[in-house]
Amino acid sequence: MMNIRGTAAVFYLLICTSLFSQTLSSNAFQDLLLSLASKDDGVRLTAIQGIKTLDDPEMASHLLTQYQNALLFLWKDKVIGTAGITEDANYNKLLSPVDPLSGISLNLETKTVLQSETQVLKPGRSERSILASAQLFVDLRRSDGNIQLNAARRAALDERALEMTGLLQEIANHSPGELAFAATESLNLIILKNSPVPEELQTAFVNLGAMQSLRALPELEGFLGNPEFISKYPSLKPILISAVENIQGYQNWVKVFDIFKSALSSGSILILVALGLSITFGLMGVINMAHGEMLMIGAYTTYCIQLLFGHTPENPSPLFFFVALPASFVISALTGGLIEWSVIKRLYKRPIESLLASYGVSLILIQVIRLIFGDNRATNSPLWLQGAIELSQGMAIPINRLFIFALALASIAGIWLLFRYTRLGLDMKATMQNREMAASLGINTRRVDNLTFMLGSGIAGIAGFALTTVGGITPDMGKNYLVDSFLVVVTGGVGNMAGVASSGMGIGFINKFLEGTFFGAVWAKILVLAMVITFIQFKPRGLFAPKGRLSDD
Amino acid sequence: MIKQNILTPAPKGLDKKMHLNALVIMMVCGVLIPVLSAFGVISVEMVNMFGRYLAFAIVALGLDLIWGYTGILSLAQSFFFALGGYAMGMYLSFQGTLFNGIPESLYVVYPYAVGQAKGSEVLPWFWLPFQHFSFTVFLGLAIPALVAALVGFFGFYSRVKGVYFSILTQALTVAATMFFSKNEMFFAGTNGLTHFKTIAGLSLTENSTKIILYVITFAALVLAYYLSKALTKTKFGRVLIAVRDDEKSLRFAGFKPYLYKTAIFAFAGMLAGLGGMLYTPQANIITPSFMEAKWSILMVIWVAVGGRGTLSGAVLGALAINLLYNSLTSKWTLGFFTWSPDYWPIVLGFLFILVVLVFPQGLQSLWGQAKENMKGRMGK
Repeated sequence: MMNIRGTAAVFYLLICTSLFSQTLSSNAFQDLLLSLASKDDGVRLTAIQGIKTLDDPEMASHLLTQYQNALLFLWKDKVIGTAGITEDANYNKLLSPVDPLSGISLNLETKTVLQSETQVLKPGRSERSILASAQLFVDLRRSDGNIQLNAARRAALDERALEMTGLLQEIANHSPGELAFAATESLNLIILKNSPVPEELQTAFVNLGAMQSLRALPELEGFLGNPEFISKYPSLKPILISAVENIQGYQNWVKVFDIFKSALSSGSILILVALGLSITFGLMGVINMAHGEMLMIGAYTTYCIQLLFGHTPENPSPLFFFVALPASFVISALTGGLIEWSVIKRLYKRPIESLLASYGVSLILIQVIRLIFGDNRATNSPLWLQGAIELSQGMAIPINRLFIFALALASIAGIWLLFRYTRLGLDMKATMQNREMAASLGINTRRVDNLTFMLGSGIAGIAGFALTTVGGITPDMGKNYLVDSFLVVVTGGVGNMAGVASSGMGIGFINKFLEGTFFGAVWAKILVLAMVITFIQFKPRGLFAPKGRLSDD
Repeated sequence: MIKQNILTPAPKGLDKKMHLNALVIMMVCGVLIPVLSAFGVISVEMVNMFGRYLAFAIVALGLDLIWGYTGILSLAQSFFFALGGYAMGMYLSFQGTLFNGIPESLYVVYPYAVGQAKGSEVLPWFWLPFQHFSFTVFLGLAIPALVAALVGFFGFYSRVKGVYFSILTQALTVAATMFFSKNEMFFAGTNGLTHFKTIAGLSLTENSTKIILYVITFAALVLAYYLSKALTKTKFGRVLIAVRDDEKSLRFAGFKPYLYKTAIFAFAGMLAGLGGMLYTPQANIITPSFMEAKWSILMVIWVAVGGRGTLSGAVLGALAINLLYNSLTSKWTLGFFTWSPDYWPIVLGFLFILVVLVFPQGLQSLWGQAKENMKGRMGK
């Protein structure tokens, strides 16, 4: 908090020194601030009005914020700000007096002032909403686009919205797209709320309908559902209906977009988790029930790297993410390699038993991690992954979901390249297709087995890394994905990258589609499971079943 | 690519040895425990605990028939177990407090839809048959058997086998758990069925009732054991082993393996349902958590530890693992070392790995090896 206040002070110092000449003289400011200290409500309101209409909105906003947060003090008939509050040996609170405008420390004999000698300027309860409106009013004039946009949106809901119509009109006329849209929308909404004139209302209905304003929908439906209003102005009814229909049409598109968005992200997560499994299960025929735990280890590696870099929301480290990605791959791959070497390699001929043994491994891993780290850990994504890209009104794609999608694509491409163009990939394919022949041609099949298993586990680690950007991490997080990813692999056809990609996306889409349209999350899940089970009935070998000689049985 | 799991055939003489083991277990459970409890050496709670473990042993028997003998690894046994458990639980719920004709555990989570107020509840139709004890017992066996038969038939008919069948049944179990956890399905949601008071007119809190339930469970286990044993001796049982060892040749010989597999899968489902029905009154609760897939895997490990392909091994494994669980999930101190229940999953994990890697034939083989060694020494 101190830190932010400090930066703000420096910021305003810069602004104030450059703008000081254009604004009121220092004395006039003091008078304005002194009236804030008045006991008379009317005088204080006039002062707020005065601050609100200052030429420099940044300065006005700064003063309002300080007043709102009780950081202005009356001391010796002068209003001062403070650079911070400290305590002396006797627990007396001390202020470091600064100029309330510039934040420059005042040249006084004493560096600190006892707080008890001052009187804090604090808005009364009734002043709060007036202050909030004033802040909104000031924000509408500020230069930061995001602040302006937010203010333009919130203006419609404000109690004193009518004061802001002039400013909103100006923004609507002179600003670029998004901002103008928000301002126009707010202007029309203000008319809906305040105007009794039917002609004005009609224009607002038409405008909002044409804008397909989502925010106006509940308001318009309210008018439509008000029998008194409808019977009073029957001619407005068809206009209202067409506006509502217009907006609802757009809203359906937004819903479709939402389904696509969540399907895309859940599909990419499924693909990432299933890719590794399709290597260990699909190519090697090993049922690795500890696959989910490879994912968990990737997530915990990311968490550890974050601790190592000291990344926190207040103190973000841009670098940690780029270290965490390879680290989660490597650590998971090494764990996988160890499991293969100690347990799995003895069970290549007994797939059902590899299921049991690897389940034991997963129990051990979960419990060991739980004993070390405790139950619930949160990671913080780097700043550039937070936020969303707004494509249109109500349609925004979160950047972290896009990142996961890109990661899934990159992983598919990476594996494909590995199998297509490298010696190692060739060795892997040869070993999986005909072990004896490969061995007789000089391939160290044991080593290839181990490396293949490491590759599958490492990709699961990347999936775990990706999952830290969308949620918290727990020791048993892998469990939730295991059954799903097995189904993806089985549906896609064992050992088939294209199959995994398409069935992962397919299952993600079907799931989210069912969830978003007719059913709740649980029913959607049950239905998807039922569909997959039925699908396996008819195509026990998956989507892209091998044909001809390769098809065993 | 995935080859059928081929077990070595049971060595000669194993049959006799198995029978001896079974007799020992039977003497302990059937005679020793009731006698000890009659003399007050072990508490009624202990007997009740053994009773619950014997119910698990019945499930293990069924699993051994399909896994050890037929080579099908099912991860849906906990689902069938819970089906039987819910059947009995619904009957028992009717014996508890009723509100407006609705059992307490259902009443408290009754989903009130829009326009529905408290007092407007209707008892769901599928609860009606469970008001009668004999009907409940019938349904508790028939429903799991029927569900198993359906799942088995469609799975086996389209030749889903090996690990694919395991994953399919696991998915089924996951879906069923979600289904039973939903309040709208009128199975009392995740709270499950509880607040039972009496069974067939006897109070569940009475010690005598607990002993009676124990004896009934024991009798059911003995019956299930001999029934399963007789089954394995028939031609049907030999076909099952043939399915396990070489299904393709069996098909070429003119058999229809899927019929045999479906039949034994349904029978195993029925045994699991029986276990669930006996478990619920002794545990006084049944919730969807008993259905979770992890229970199914645990059931598999009972059989694996005991020794699959030998029925007495399945019983032995179920009892051994549960007793181990019971002793390792309490806190105790030995010198500097303090055992925490948190370590149990790690022990269980190592047990999974050990039994697969070191003792694939389970405890039974240990017994056999010890005997061989003894013989070897005596011979010298």
